[in-house]
Amino acid sequence: MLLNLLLRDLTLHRRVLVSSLFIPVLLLVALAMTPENRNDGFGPHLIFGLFLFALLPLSLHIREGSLGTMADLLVLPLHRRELVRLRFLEGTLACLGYFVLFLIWWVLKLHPDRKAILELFRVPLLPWVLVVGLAYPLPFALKWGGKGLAVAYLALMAGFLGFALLMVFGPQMPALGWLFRGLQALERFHLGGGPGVAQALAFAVPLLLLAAGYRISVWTLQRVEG
Amino acid sequence: MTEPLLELRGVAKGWPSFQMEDVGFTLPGGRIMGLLGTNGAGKTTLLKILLGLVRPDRGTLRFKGRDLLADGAELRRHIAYVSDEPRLVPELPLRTLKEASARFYPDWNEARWRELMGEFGLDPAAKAGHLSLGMRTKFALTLALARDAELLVLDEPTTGLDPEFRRELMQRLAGLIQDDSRSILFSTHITSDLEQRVDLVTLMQEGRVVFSLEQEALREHWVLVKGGLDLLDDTVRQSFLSLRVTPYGFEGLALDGAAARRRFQGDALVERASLEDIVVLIGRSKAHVA
Repeated sequence: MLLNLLLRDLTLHRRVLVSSLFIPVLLLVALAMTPENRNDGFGPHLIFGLFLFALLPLSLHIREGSLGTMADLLVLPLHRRELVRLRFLEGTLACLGYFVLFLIWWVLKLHPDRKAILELFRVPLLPWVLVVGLAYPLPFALKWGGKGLAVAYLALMAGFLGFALLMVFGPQMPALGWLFRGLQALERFHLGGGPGVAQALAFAVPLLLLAAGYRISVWTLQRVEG
Repeated sequence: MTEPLLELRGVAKGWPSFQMEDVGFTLPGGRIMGLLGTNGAGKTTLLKILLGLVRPDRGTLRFKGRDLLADGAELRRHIAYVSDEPRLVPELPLRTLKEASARFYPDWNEARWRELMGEFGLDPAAKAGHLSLGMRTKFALTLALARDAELLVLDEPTTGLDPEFRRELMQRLAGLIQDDSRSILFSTHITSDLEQRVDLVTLMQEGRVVFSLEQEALREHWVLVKGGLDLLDDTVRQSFLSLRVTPYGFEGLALDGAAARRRFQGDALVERASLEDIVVLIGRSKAHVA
């Protein structure tokens, strides 16, 4: 059924999908034109591209809403959780595809150091991009479409701003002492376990967030009325 | 006794602006049911509940004896649906739209779809964005009719269609019901669509079912009585399910035609009530038939 859904999206949203191929082309051309950054795998060419591809399934879902074909999608003989699985699968495949393409292009065009290439695999970049670009905003988009997506990112930005302000002014506020003690304890636990624990935690946290995003998305979509 | 194909009991759904209460009816196999009601009566909401698009607050829905709310994903394989205003991806040809839909249904019949496209005068290469509402409805009908669905749910499918095609469609729908395995649930507010071909009529009003009866029973027993104001005493008033009084006379809807004919015997005109008469008069009185 998931394959049928994937083929349905490839059929109905061909125009959007073909248009989205311009993103990697432009980013990879830009990458080839910046040889001074040859060892910076985490540059905007990778992160920006991955983020846009993580958003692709959301744009397909929002398009269904704006075209008025959402009811046709929801009356198909399948569980709604399969629609959420589809969105996660699409996001993962799109990001993986771009990651592989980026890697090949980067290695062939800029010949980075081996250490720089290995560094890309030591950091849970892909899971974090999928958390921020897909798992976090998906429930908002499922419930409220494009407006939901906008609200999700405004809330995220407000959250970052609040956190930044807290980091600056928080230590001067005795009432927030418990919060800072907690954050310090978390940091000690993270670092104290050695590189193995730190590495495992670094991957486990975004994976847990992805799982939570999936469950919340299923719960949300089951309550959406067409 | 054979199990009904579709059975609804006590279905309720509430929003701040609209309440659906205690909706229930039974649709046996091999029948066409017309779901009648004015705009806003709750017909589309009820069909959306059947299709899993809207979750009811209460009630049971059984299809082929199984719980439609719990097993909807699997049971929807056997249900085909045409919405009141089919929306299609505008830049794509109809052939491509068909491909996107057909792969979900194992009972898809490609030859029948091609045949229907020809009969309905649709070009598979035509872009959906160039079609009128009537043409889009015809295309949606080809997708629904090209399957062997046991229940066909049609939400006001005749809206936007010309009278000739409407008649042809009703004939075609009647032709589909050749044994007890298939049924059609057909919502409309155009009562003339239902007069000839429909076996059962369910009338909805303000989120409730007013009645769900065999059309034959309506034809045989329900009458419209038209007479002068001099006939209208309290007993006569109470004998009508619904009554409309004008300065010149009255129109009353009676459930027992034989009794009405005996009572008025030439003093008033007693004639068979059309579906339109019933909808209009019941709409005024907000009556409920147990």
